[in-house]
Amino acid sequence: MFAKKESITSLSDDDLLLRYQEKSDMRIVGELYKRYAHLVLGTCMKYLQNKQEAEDTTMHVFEVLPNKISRHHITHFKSWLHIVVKNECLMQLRKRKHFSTTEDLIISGDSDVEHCKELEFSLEQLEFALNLLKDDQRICIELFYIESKSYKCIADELSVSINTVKSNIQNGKRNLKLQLERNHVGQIKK
Amino acid sequence: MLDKLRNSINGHGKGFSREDLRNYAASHDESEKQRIELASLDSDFDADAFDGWEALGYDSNKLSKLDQRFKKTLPGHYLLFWIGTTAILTIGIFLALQYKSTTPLKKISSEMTQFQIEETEIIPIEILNLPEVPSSIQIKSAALQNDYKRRKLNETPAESTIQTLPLRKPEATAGKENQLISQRKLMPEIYLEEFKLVDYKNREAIQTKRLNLYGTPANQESKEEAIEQFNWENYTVSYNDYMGKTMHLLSKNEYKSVISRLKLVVQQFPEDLNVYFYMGFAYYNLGLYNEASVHFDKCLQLPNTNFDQEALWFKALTLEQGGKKYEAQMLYRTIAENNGFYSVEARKKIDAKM
Repeated sequence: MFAKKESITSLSDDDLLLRYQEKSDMRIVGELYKRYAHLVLGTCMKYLQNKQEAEDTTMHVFEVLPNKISRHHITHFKSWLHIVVKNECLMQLRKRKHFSTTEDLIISGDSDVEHCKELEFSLEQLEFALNLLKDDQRICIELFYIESKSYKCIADELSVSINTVKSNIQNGKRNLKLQLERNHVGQIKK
Repeated sequence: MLDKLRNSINGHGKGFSREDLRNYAASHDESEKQRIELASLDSDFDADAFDGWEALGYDSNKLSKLDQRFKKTLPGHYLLFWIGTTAILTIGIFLALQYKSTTPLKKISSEMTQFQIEETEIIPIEILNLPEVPSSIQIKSAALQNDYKRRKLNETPAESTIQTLPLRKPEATAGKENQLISQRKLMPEIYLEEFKLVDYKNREAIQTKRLNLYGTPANQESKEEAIEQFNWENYTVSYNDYMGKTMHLLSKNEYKSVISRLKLVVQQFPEDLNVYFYMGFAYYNLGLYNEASVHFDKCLQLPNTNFDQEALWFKALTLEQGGKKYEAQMLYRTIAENNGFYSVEARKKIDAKM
């Protein structure tokens, strides 16, 4: 039994899903819970802004997970789960406002899908793209990624809130990726 | 120096763990905090979750209650796993509490936060759950873009001729063989993201809506107050902007998103040729050949001929992929005879069969 457990914990997400589809072994759902419950709960909290609802929604996500993973072909579980969680949150929000709940909606996971595709770019290209960012974003990115300063240190140094620092870093990173993608597409065209 | 940033952009990290949460709440070490913050940017999922944990004070003990609930949903034979996990958690909680006695609770920002989810970013679950086929049997969007590039460069006389001649309906769609399609005409065209579209110049804007989510951390708000902090907002977007973004998604082979967005257009403009062709293309690449076929047929029935050649060609491919080899061959012959852009490819298909 212990040997089995060890093999499950060392499996990749893809292998876990494959095994679940073959054997419907509930230990696999437990392993997925162990790996992702903290991400699901945090994401529910971000969107729902209510602890009880976030917990209930997290439970619901894992309750319906066995059925979903046995029915669907999932290529990137983490990204897929992110979409499922956002979908559940949106449905909760719709219920709060008495929107029709007959229509099952889901948020597109474009950015997540993109996340799975590796971009090829040189450090020189990255440096060039970095210089195209707005100053606020560039400075926060440099302090965070190059000087390895924490959010709090950067916030103190720049006399801004931690949220501003986080926002600048996240937006800056997104803009960098877009810029590099554009360059990448441009190179392919050439 | 920029390696960390490059790795972060490419999402090489594993994200943050439960243990990281505990450490983040407990640690005074800014370098350790920075390591965890870095991990929290490894994916959008991690970033969303880390934002959410801020409202929970990064207190991973809040997972314990959830663990107990989850445990009850598992069959008994999984108990041993939980005994081990619970033991680790208990030790972790004890250590975290030790730290917390000397660490002031992290101040939670009371700044209002706002998120916007556009309705057009939403995919109905019935579309999300559509099957997918291996990429080896898909026709990538880039291939279609290349076709358009080549067509723009080499507008052949044959091609311009075909657009003025009456087209024969494909056998699979025509009620009567050799029935001529009449009174159909070519419309002006534009290219968005290197995809061809009929230029509906005076088309009204697309009506859509977006969900605005506002909120303050839950521990600063009563549940009732939190409930009111979001709203749907109607807004409009110009047809070309909307289609431009849709074509952008198509260029990334995001077929489900494309279908979802085009369904919104067809609700407002039921005879939009662009919608039918690109929905057919998207369905084709999801392996839904019947749906694809219906959409390509529709292209051939609408009053404009702009997508006739593509629709015929993809209709033939759809029939072939759907196992209707004979019908496909007949259509390849029609395409070859028409001497249009796909005639060479059609002849190759015919030769291969022979």
